[in-house]
This record gives sequence, structure tokens and C-alpha cells, in this order.
Amino acid sequence: MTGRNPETLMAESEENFDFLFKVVLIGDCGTGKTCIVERFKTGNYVDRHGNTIGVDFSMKTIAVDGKQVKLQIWDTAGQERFRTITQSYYRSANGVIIVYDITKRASFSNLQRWIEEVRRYTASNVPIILIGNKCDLETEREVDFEEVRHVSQFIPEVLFVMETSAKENTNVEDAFFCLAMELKRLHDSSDVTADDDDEAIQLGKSKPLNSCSSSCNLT
Amino acid sequence: MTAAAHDDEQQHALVKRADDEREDIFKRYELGLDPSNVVDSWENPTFEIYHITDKYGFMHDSRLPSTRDSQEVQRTKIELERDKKWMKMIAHWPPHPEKLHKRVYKGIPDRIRWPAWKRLLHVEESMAQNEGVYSRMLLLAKKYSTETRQIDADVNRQFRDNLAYRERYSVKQCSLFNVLNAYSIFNSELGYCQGMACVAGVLLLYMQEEEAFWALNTLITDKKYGMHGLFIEGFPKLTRFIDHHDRILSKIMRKLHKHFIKHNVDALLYAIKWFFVVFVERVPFSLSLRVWDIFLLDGDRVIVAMAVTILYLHKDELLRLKDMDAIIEYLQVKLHKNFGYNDDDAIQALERVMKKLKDLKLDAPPPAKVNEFPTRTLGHFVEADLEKKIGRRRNDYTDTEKQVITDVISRQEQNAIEVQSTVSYETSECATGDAYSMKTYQSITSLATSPAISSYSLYSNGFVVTNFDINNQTSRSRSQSVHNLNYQQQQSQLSQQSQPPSFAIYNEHSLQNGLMRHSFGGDSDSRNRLDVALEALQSQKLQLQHENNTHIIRIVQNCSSDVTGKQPNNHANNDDDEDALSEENTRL
Repeated sequence: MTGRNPETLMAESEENFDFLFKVVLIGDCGTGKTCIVERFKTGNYVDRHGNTIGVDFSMKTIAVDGKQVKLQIWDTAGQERFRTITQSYYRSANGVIIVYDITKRASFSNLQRWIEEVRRYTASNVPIILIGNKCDLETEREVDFEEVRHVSQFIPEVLFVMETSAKENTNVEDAFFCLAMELKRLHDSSDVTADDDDEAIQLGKSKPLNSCSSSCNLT
Repeated sequence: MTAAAHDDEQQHALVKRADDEREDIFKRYELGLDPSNVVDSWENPTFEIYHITDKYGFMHDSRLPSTRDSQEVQRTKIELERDKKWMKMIAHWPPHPEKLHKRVYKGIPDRIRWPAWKRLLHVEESMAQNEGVYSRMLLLAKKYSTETRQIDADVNRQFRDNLAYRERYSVKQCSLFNVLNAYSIFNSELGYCQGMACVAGVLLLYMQEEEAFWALNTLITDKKYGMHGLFIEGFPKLTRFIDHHDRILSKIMRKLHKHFIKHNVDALLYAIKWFFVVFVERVPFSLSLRVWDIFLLDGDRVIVAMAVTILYLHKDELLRLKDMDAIIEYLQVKLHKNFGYNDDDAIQALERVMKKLKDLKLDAPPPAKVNEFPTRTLGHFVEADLEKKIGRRRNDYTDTEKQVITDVISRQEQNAIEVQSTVSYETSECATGDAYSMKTYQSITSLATSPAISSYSLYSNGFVVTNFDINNQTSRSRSQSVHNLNYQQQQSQLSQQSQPPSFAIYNEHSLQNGLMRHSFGGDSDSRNRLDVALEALQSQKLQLQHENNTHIIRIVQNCSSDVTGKQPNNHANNDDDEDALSEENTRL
């Protein structure tokens, strides 16, 4: 970089966004994490995705309250063996999405373990959203939505629960949108606090939400 | 009913549930293509009729050319000639090593891959020595495998764009399912790891079921390939190879290495897949087969060289890409679709890289440790524990896992030091005006994508916090440069031998251990992540100073400039250094 002007250097990498948040997607194998990301990113549904080995990475910028919010999405391998690698990616996450499969009871039973992992490896109080994927397969449902909602009330980090179908494009965008909105809101409030006085900010402690504060439909 | 009895019953029910599930999955595979087998409509992508299939059975999104150009006619002619030579050579196995080497590097003709790969992997010998073992393993798997659910999920998505695997429960899908299940019992220590489906899937494109099983076993257990160490818990071989990969980059492709570090492109992101499945689905299939040919002949050092070759051939393009998203997309998607070089040229480049690495004594990573090879007797059945049977995620961490986590974290810390050394200058510049300008924010976030920095001071709760240092009110605002200092100060504490007197002024910024949460599963283990990271850093300190003695010094320089507000007058780096490989440039 010798002799380069820092201004131009910034301009080079400057993109059209106002906020950047890092979101990590976790959850049991085969719950549809990659399909969700793909649907969100490209609008397509690809049913022949390979398995994710280690971590995968994509970005998408969306508009929230007139601001460009860039989401950096880390899609992780679900197999337990990979946790030693994937957990290092939790560490700087701004938000975590835990995906379970509404047709696989086991993927729901593991939620607690996933949340423990998040708590162990993220900074404190990183907001979590729960996504029950494959809600198009109603006849095979093994996890009741009300049950998840009930359980999530006891997990303060959980902002909201949402059922999605990557296949039929139900709620996928909403889920990311709501998360982005919450992240921006939390960020805004932290910004204000920082300007006000010198208290340490205690985000997340203040407002554990059980539902998305936006107008999106939570069914 | 007592509580214990109740627990017992519950556990029993859970085991039963897992058993039933496995039985059910097996049943469906036994039914295979029988019309009574219930298949979700999405599982058979019959709507993809417009796809056109290539010679390997892969379907493409657009029509392939219907006529063959003169080059291809020529290639076909050559391949037919090679077929004959290979047939002769296989009949008189083993051939002279030099001849074999020459021919393998030219590419094994596709029709010959079946017999040739079997020879290279000693499949027939293995089968003769282990008669009946495969079917026994398969029977045991049907009864006891705890990996069935995972394997089922992966079989259902492996090579679904290939004719052989396209149809749900097709012959090849069933074979893949069986091979992986049987192998999870045969090598119970390894079980099943994602990535193995791809390896076995490639083998099955050229072999029968039982042949593929033994070929897989050779790849996994033979020292020459040593894939056991890649897939086993803790991935010891992956770590070893990635470290070596980094070493090579830092020595012979410095510019690209810095570029990657600057944009947070950790080799872990792209190299896992490269190494786990030997470049399948990351370069065009025809090229990955050529790499496999050489891999099967010369073993795992080919993997190291191919990784370097890819980066070398695409160095200029990669240097032009200015963010992580674009770089990763390029390495993971673009190169798979279009490598930009034909297979012969790519393989020639690979050969040259192999030679170059050998000259530089970088061709072989440090030797494997014992934990990269099976310690249990293969084929010896061990029943899984209860948690595994149920398929519950474990809560505790083995010593190996703890070690890996520490290693991965310290690796990221080390990268962060280097990011810091290249980027902090930019951010401190931006932060001097508005304490919280958008530009600063962008810089922060770009830094923060490297988890290492966030674990120190940038983020305490996942958000950018400008008043992190609660012990020191004066340092509250002027965000980024202060954070940099906090971080740099830690570095200075670690590098006390090299610490200049000027560092004394930062000692008032004390370290906030309490804010971090980090433990390895037991309350007794109260070390927080910072301690772990610091320890790791400490252990790396000497290495850092020796190997890359500019880093710490550069941090010190940046640090002082942050405080004085002066432009750092020495942030020069080695960007202009000639890459050791660049003499090759003109030849490619």
C-alpha cells in the first residue's frame, strides 16, 4: 500500500451499504440451511445442494428503513464433528439463526444444545432467531409451532420464531428482514447510548423479544 | 414408578425410535426403485429434462455443443490410442514407474479409469484378502450404524446433477448408501464424516459397490493418502495441511497472501473442501478427475501442489477482487464452472508447481502424527454409546476438540495481527475526524469479520460498541483508534522483549477479561477465551518474531502513529516483492 491515499483506498472497497451485520446459520444436518440461504440470496430453490463442508459464505444487501443493510451470512456444516471449526465463526456474529426441521423431532430436540453452543462461543447476548424450515410438509409435521414458541419464551436471546419453507418461498425473506431490522434497531440504540454517557452498553438484556417487532406475519 | 425407572424407560423409547428410523430408512433403500417406494416429488427432479449431460454423466444448465470441433476430434483420436497402450500396460502390471508416471500425468483415459484406479488402489488384493467382510459389515451396519440418518441426508444430495445419482434410490444411490454405512462400522473410529460421500461417490462412478468400499478404505487408511486424518474428529491432517498451505503462500505468493489476509479470506474457508474431496466440485469435473489420477499415483502431496496451482493460475484475477464475497465466490463457484485453462495446461502447471515446491523443499507438509491413523482394529465391531444411538448432539468436548478449537482460534488471532498490520493505518486515518463516521464503521466491520479482533475489544455483545473500555473513561470515544490500541497493547504485553519504552503509556488501558465468555464445557474450566487466545499467541510469539519479524514491529509503529496523529511513515510492506513463482509467468 506504499504511497497510496487512504481515501482512495477506502473508496475502492466502499460499497453501497450503511450497515454490515454478520449472521451465522446453524442447526442440525439436512434442516435446509443452505437452501434457505440460496433462496434468500438468489430467489431460487435448488433441491440438489451438496452438503456444506465446514463453512460457506454469502452476502446480500437489503433495504431496512431506507438504509442499506448488508448481511454477511455464514452457512455452517451441521454435522457435530465440524463444530470445532464452525464455532470459531460464531464469535463475531451479530446475529444467529438456528434452523430446525419441523418434520424432524430430533432437530428440535437438539435446539437446547445449539443454544448452549451459541452462548458459549458468542459474545454475550447475541440475538438468536429460530427458524422451523420445511413448513410446506404439513402432513409430516413432528414439531408443533406453539410448542416452540412456548419454549422460546424461556430463552431470553431468542428474538422470534418463524416457520419457513425454502421450497415454497414462505417467510424466508421475512426472517432475514426481521432479523436485519432488529439488528439495526439494536445497533441504533447502542449508538445513542454511546453518545449519551459513558455507561457500558448492555444490549439484549434490555429487550428480549419473543416476536418480531415488525409487521411481518409470524405464522 | 421411580425416577430412575422412568428415565430408563424414556431412554429405551428413544433408542427404539432411533432403531425404527434406521430400519425404515434401510427398508426404503432395499425397495430401491420399486414403485411402492414412496418418494417425495422433489426427490426425483424429472422436470429437469432440458439439461444436457456431459460424458461424465453431469447435466448442465445449457445445451452442450452438438458438433465436435477439430480439437475434440483430435483429442478423441489420441485418447483411443492411449486406451490401447493402457490396456497393454494394465495387462502387464506393475509397469515401469517412469512410464506410469508419464502416462498418468497425461491423464488416464476415461474408459480405463475403472481398471487403472483399481490397480492404483489395490482393490483386487484387498477384496481377495477380505472375502465376506464387506457383506458382514453391511449387515452389522443395518443393525447398529448410528450414522444412517446423516448418510441418508447426504446421499440424497450427492451428485444429484449426475445421471447415476439423479434418481432417488437409483442403483448408485443405493450403493453409495451401503458403502458409507458399511464403512462406518468397518472403521468405527472414523464413522462417517461429510465429505466421504463425495469421495465414495466419485469412486462409485467408476467401480462396483464392493470395489468402491475397498478403494475407499485404501484412500482412508493407506499412509500415501491418509484421508483418515482428514475426516477424523479434530481433523488433524486438515490443520497440518492448511498450516503448510499458509506457509507456502507466505513464502512464494506473498502478495496474494496479504490480499487474502486483508480481506479475511482464511484458507479454512476454501481449502476444507479442496482437501476433503480432492477438488471435486471446486474445479470442473474433468479436471478434478485428472487431479485424482495423479493423487492416486503420487499421494497427498498433490493436494498441496494443486491448491497452490489454482491460486497461482488465478492470482491476477484474485488480486483484482476487492472483497471477501467476490473472492470466495470466485474460488467456490466460478472456478467450478469455468476454470479458464484447459485441463492439459492446468496439469502442466501443476507439474511445474510440484517441481518448484520440491526445489524449495515445500512439497511435503511436516510428517503426520499418530492420531491421523486408525488406532482401533479395522472391522472390529464396537457398539456406539447411548447419545450416539439417539443422535443427540454431545454437550461435552473431548481433549482433541478442545485442542482444535484453541488452534483454530489462535490461527485467527494470528491472521488478525496481520490484518491489523495492514489495515489499522486506514482506520485510524478515518477515525480522526468524526469519531463514528460511516467510513470508520465500515472499517470496523471489515476488521470485525475477523473474529479475533472482536474477541478483544471491538464487540462485546455482537455490536459495535464505542465505549468498551469501562475501566478507562477517557478512552471512551474516538472509537477505532482506541480499540486498535487496546488490541495492540495486548500485543505489546505479549512481546515484552521487543517492547519499546513508549509502550508504558498504554498500560492504563487494562484488559477486560470479565466481559468474555468462554469455557469448554465444564464449570471447572473457567478459562475465558481471551486467556486461551493469549496463551496461543504467547506460544506463537517466538515463531512470529522469527518467521515474520516485521509484524510486531509494524504494529508498534502503527500504534505510535495512532497516538501522535502522525502519518505512519513506515507502513511499507512487501507488496512489491517478486513472487517466487513469477518466473513461471511467461510460460503459462
